[in-house]
Amino acid sequence: MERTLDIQPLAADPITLHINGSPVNAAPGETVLSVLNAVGLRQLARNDHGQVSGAFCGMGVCHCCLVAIDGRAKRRACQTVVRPGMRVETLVNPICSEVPA
Amino acid sequence: MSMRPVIVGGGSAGMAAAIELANEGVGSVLIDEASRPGGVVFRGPLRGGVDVGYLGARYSKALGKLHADFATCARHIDLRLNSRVVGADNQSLMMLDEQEQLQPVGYEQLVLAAGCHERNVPFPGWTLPGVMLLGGLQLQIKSNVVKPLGRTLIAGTGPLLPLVACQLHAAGAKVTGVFEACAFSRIARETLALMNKPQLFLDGLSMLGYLKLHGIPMHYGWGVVAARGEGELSEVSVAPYDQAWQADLKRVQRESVQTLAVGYGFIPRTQLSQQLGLAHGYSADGYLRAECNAWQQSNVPHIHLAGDMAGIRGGEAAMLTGRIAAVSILHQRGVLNAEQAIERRERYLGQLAGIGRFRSGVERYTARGPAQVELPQADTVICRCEQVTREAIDLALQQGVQDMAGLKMRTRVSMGDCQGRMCVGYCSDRLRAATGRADVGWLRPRFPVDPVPFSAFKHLGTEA
Amino acid sequence: MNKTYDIVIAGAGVIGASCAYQLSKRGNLRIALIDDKRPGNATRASAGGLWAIGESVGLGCGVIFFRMLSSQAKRQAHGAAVAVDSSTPHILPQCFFELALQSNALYPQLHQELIERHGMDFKFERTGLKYVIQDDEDQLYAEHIVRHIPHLQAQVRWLDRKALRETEPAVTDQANGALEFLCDHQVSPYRLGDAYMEAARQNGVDLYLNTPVTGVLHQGGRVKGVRTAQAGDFHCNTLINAAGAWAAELSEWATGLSIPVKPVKGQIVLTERLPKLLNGCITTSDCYMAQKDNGEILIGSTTEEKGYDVTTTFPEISSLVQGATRCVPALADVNLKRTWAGLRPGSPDELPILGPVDDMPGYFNACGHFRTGILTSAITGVMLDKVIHDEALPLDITPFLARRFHKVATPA
Repeated sequence: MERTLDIQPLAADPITLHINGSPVNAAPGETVLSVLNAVGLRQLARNDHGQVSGAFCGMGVCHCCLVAIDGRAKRRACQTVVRPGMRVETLVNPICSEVPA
Repeated sequence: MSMRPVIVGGGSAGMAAAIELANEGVGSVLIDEASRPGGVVFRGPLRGGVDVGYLGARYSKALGKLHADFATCARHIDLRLNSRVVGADNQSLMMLDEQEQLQPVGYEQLVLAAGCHERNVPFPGWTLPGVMLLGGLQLQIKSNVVKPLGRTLIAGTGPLLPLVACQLHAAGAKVTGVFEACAFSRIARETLALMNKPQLFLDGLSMLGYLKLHGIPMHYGWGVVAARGEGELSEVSVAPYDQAWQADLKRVQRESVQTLAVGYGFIPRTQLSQQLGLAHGYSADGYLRAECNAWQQSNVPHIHLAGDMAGIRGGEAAMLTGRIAAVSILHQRGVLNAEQAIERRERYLGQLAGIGRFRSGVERYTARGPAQVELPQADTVICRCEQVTREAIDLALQQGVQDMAGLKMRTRVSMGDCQGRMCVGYCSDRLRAATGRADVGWLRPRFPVDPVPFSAFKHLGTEA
Repeated sequence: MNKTYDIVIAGAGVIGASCAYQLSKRGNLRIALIDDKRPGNATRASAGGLWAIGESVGLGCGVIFFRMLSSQAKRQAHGAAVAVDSSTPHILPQCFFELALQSNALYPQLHQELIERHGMDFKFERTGLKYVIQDDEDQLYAEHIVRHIPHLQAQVRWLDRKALRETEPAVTDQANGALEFLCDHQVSPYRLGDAYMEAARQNGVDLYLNTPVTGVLHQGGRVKGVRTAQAGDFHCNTLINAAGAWAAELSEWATGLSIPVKPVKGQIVLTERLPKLLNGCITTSDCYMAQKDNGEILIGSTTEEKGYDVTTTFPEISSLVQGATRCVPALADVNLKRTWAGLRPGSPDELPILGPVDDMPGYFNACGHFRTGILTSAITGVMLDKVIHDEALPLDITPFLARRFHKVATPA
């Protein structure tokens, strides 16, 4: 996955994490949300009612950027700092896998 | 007093309090949920090697100074990052630490500086990916160093709108326009009040000049009506607002954009101050805030409030109230005598007064119009976590529901993961309008303030 | 601004609202339902178990109460291995079983009626209640229960380890088995309260919410109304005391006699919404667990005498969390969303206080429901409606009269 929306390029020595199985570069210290932002992925969470949401408050309040991280669902992307090898999955909800009719 | 003062929230207020204490040799424990101190205003980029010039010269300087001052005090400050205070009682805080374990943090003196979150204003389409709160988008460019996707439209009210527009443009994003809901004449009427902070006022004027120079239109008396898109945002409808913010639907204009940032002000985070049973009151804007005296003391003298928790006044005021809270603590600990403490407090209060007059002017022109609550349609979701629509709220009000707790039980608003932070503003507005009462109750936050895993209790005792 | 009604009901929790609903069905009564919002409202704090047998034999909400008694017994035995002191069985008297079972039997019909006539669904679910047996002490207690309820054999089933695994795969494989009560089900407690109240409103009952009652009016030796600050005086022929944990004060004002209703605090833990993890309600010797209609699992509850205090406290919450995780290990990875505390209207013999009071016409009790107010709300509404109208009652009200607390000692 390509980072196309960075305001300034990443410094040298990025780490690698995986978003929905695809490798992507990340800078130590940044959040999972900033990586998702940078690759232009905006449909992030599927809530308990099947509704899709993207980042909304950006600061840990609204629970709209919940993604699965290393197999654990409902992690706030905006509140989680990246680690090398981290596996991030979007649109995962443990009780609702289908889009509502 | 043997224990170090504990400060909850490492934003402008909390950092200033810690610095003020450290300058007198008093150590503190400073707890913040982020990986870097600074709060949403002064966290700065989370990754290294970023030139923050695009955020403006004055901001870069202030950011640099705050972190430099903080760094010189580092040895006095026990900084607990990535740690979230999720509960509080009269002896200790309950902190979810970096390893996601709960641990109690005892305190004798406390500074609560948890800040605020944004007021969410629902309208048709607000839940589409691509629609964001304005402060959230600002945080994205400031701390995440990432631009929004595609063309961006900014709507709402207040001085943050043109500021974020300038920062976005300077960061290389495309801004199609800024839609300020209040009429220009209302802002002009406040010129005198705004001149209380000449620098801020000038900054405001120069921002407007910047927008003009770069062809970003600033529309006064216009606001958002709806957002649309397949899967994500692709179009926003805006319309002229009258004095009551009733949108003129005959003059709707459609703007093709991929990002919409909406900013209608802020609501203090009172979860902890309420859990501690402190005295609270309502602001003119209808939000609940903790009450404090000129020493920033709550009704419990060893618990202080700093920053926006006690009422929204912004980052500069937050630093001053943080310092005043610290002065009060220094006096309580006998580090400063009464005379020294009062003298120092008066100095800070003097600076705060100018900000206060400036803020009053801003508050008058940004006062929300009562027709704002009419934006959602019957099927517009109000509480996203529990999927509660406007229709359900209308029905509950018709059935005689009179307060927040009743509305919660009848419709399940606020029972989801965000615990009502995103719908409380709308629900409170509707209840106040329906009952004619100023106090319709507020969300009663309990432990935990944020969801915590059961595994976090592993090491916590079960005996009192 | 003074008002005149036939009946004033003080307290719009599940009991007051049920009385209002049953009385409103007569169609010819002017009824006011008055409520004051005070922290600790037990209806909203409740778990919503309709555990007719479970609660009658001291499980569900009573578990921690029992454990307290048990540990006292242990202490008194100076560390001897006295597990269950069968001389102090925590099983309620027969009259309570009848009240609970008759009330329980009303719910299927009531559920249908409130949906069809009033559009209110209180989420009645047939779940059963399983007492999960995790050690020898639990086993002894389960056997002890079964011995005491021979007449309810048809509603009781033993599950061995394998049967328990099959029906509740999320329960720990350390569990030895379970004792299941087949007729014990659940509702959404706050929806039940709202359903009664909204149905009553649709039937013409006037609601006065956020209106504290400040006094009782008398005339000619009988109760004639109540006083409120906000809405003036309410004149009436009949006053029902459904004031929950606050009932003692109202009784004192109305009759001059106190009734021994005391707030008994219960703390509760709620998870986030989860996929179906529990097929039925679970009770253990640490806590109970009920997965509600929306997927949240509710875990309760403590039994504490702390006056009107409704703070949640970390050691108690932690103990519920650890008790629940011991029985359902998968909870370790689940998020706890909220905790709260409510005030049960406790009575010393754990029986509700119902019906008229000697020498004070116009006044009726509907209070003291302790930990079973949700379960017994249905029959309480029916009983009050009938006793006020002097009609035949579905069961003997004598054991529930306030008179039982005011007996004068008679010489043998």
